[in-house]
Order: sequence, then structure tokens, then C-alpha cells
Amino acid sequence: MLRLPKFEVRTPESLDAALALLAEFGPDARVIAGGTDLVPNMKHELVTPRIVVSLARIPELRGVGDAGAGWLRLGAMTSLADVAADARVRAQAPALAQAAGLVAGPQLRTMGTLGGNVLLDTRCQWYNQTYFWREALGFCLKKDGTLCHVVEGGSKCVAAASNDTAPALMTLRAELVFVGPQGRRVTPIDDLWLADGAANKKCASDELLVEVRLPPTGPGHRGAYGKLRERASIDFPLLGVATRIELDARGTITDADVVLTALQARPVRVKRAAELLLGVRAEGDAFLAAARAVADQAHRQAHPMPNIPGDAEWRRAMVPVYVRRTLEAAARGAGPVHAV
Amino acid sequence: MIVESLDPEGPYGAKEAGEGPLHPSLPALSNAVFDAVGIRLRELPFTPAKVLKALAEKNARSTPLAGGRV
Repeated sequence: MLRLPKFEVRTPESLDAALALLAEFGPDARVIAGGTDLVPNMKHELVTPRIVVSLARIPELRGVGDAGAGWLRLGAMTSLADVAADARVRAQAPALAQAAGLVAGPQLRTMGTLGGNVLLDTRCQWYNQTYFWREALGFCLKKDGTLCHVVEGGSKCVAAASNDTAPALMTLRAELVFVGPQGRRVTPIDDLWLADGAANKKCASDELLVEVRLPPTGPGHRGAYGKLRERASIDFPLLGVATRIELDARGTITDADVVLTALQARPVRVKRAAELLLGVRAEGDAFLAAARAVADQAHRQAHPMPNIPGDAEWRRAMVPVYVRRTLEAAARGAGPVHAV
Repeated sequence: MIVESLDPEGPYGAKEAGEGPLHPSLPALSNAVFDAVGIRLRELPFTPAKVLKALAEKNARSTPLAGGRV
């Protein structure tokens, strides 16, 4: 059995109080939202905070609401289960609802939060292990060591972005609202990422993600999420595919986007997806041919490494299959794509 | 469950109870995969990755030019 190291919990009742605690304790403090990632990571001694700052008693961080001009605001502490079930999210952002509904299993979605999933630490089979296990191998690039066990001689960590909601939010052009000592800042989720598995997000430790904002979508909006994993009832993604298609009144594609995750340190956009689908009617053979062209492009672009579990060749072979199926699901107004 | 017995093959006459039932079921699963797609898997677990690899090897043997279609 793994024990949790000793720590102290603080439960601020306002954002200002939470920020003050983060400023006071600096690197000794960590924020806990749902705890579904932090607690196992603490047991593995991947993070060893002396102070854990809980956001559970700050009610303004929870819930889905109207942000004006058709935008939706989703509080960072809204549970993944609530995001998946919310009627407004399902209508306005089906890919996000589907992605949130496929994170881990029901208990973890009830505890786990949208903000926590967006800010999820990258994962690697050489990193998400006990201290004893990691010590026996001389540690690794991401934590306490200098060697990469995935890429021999590698000098850059290749731990994989494993958050299901991130690619969906990228296709939806979501914005993130952070609050820190310098006040509020709003950033498009595309600008959050760094291509470094050791730290793949531009976000300071004294900042809090408070809100995710979704721009309005029209009646021609379609979106879907596809997820590859070995066990359908739990597990991080071995591959995640988010798709978005915009249709005009005649059912012709006017815009499209495809973003992949769980391949490398950050979620990646499939190049030329919009270009390949533009002007095609979202049904029949022409659409299938265009979807296959996007799938082929994704296949060329994707190079899964043995960084997370699951055979890397199988994961690569599934890239075009999941891209095509997830595009087809979006066109039909269906999804998620999730067959095990 | 305790069954009073003396197995002359087991240590101190002990009788195994867990392994026996596994003997027929795993080959049956392997046979089911073979029946479905014509490949013989000999190592557990029968993951999708192993099935795909075995299928690729089988295709490479039978039709050297067969390309994968997505």
C-alpha cells in the first residue's frame, strides 16, 4: 500500500484568500481541485507539497453559466460529470461534453474537475510510478534525473499530454481565465501549451485557472470526440481525437478542425484539416474521401512513442481510423467514437 | 472451499484448485480469435495491438503488396 506523505490542508473561502496562500507558501503549496490526479501523484512522491490549498469552498468556481453574447462560462471547479451532462454544453460544444464524459470512470468524473483536466500533468510510464520504482532506475528527465528512458540519449522530456478535454477545447477555440497576483488574464487555450513534457503549460504556480469560456456556435456546428484506450471503463487516453465541422444551410463544410492528444507533450492540430474539408458536403462519398485525406495527413503527422502504455505501433495505426470515424461521427451529429 | 483429498502429485498431498479451470478456457479464446480472423495468438493477454500485429504479419505473408486502408 502506498501512503500519502504528511501535508496540511487549507480551505480558503475566497479567491483572494486562495491566492494569498499560494503567494505565501510558493513552491511548498499545491492546489487541490478534485484530487484525482494530485493525490496519486502525491502517493508516488511526484509532488510533495507541505500545504495543499483546497478550492472546494469557493462556490463561484463551480457551475456552468451564461457569459454574455452567446458565450458559456464553465467554472474551473465544475465536475467533469456535470460538464458531460449539461444541456447547454451538449448543444453548444458536443465534442467537449463527449470528451468530459469519457475521462476515466464515473467516480473519477464526479470528483475530477474541468480545470483539473485542462491542467493535468503530462504522463509517462517511466514517470507515473512509485518513488522506489523510479529510484531503482535512476529517475528520469521529468523528475529528479537526467536520463530519458523513452528516447535513448533524449534531452527533452516526451511525457504525453493526457487530458481528454484539451483537444476538444482547442477545436472549440475556448479561452481560459487565470487569476494571479497581477490580476486576471484571458488566454486562448491554443496558447497554453509548450512542447516540453517536463512542464507543458505556460501557467505560473501562483496563478489559478478560474474559468473556461466557450464562444457561441451556430446550428451548423458539429463536433465529436474519439478516444482509444485498453479498458473502456477507465484509463487515460492512448489517443484522443477531437473534431469540429461547421456547416452552412445547405450542409456544405465552411470550417473544420481536428486536434489529437496523447501522442506527445502537447495536443497537436492536424495540419490542413480545414483546407481538405472546405466546400465538401458533409455526407456521401465526397465527404468520406475528404475525411480519409485528413486521416492520412494525421497519420503522417503522428509519431506515438513508447511514453505511455499501449503498443506505439498500434496507437499509430489507430490514428487514421479514429480521425476518420470521429469526423464521420461529427458529420452525423453523433459520437463519441469509443470502441474497445 | 475445502475439499478433503490427497493428491499424490502435489506437495504434501496438496491439490490445486485454480489452474485447472483455466486450461480449457484460454485455448478456447485463442481458437475464437483464430476462427474470427485466422491468426493464432499464443501469449496472453490477447490485446488489440497483438491482433493487429499478427494480422499485418499474416497479410505480409499472403499478399506482399496489400496496403492498409483506413
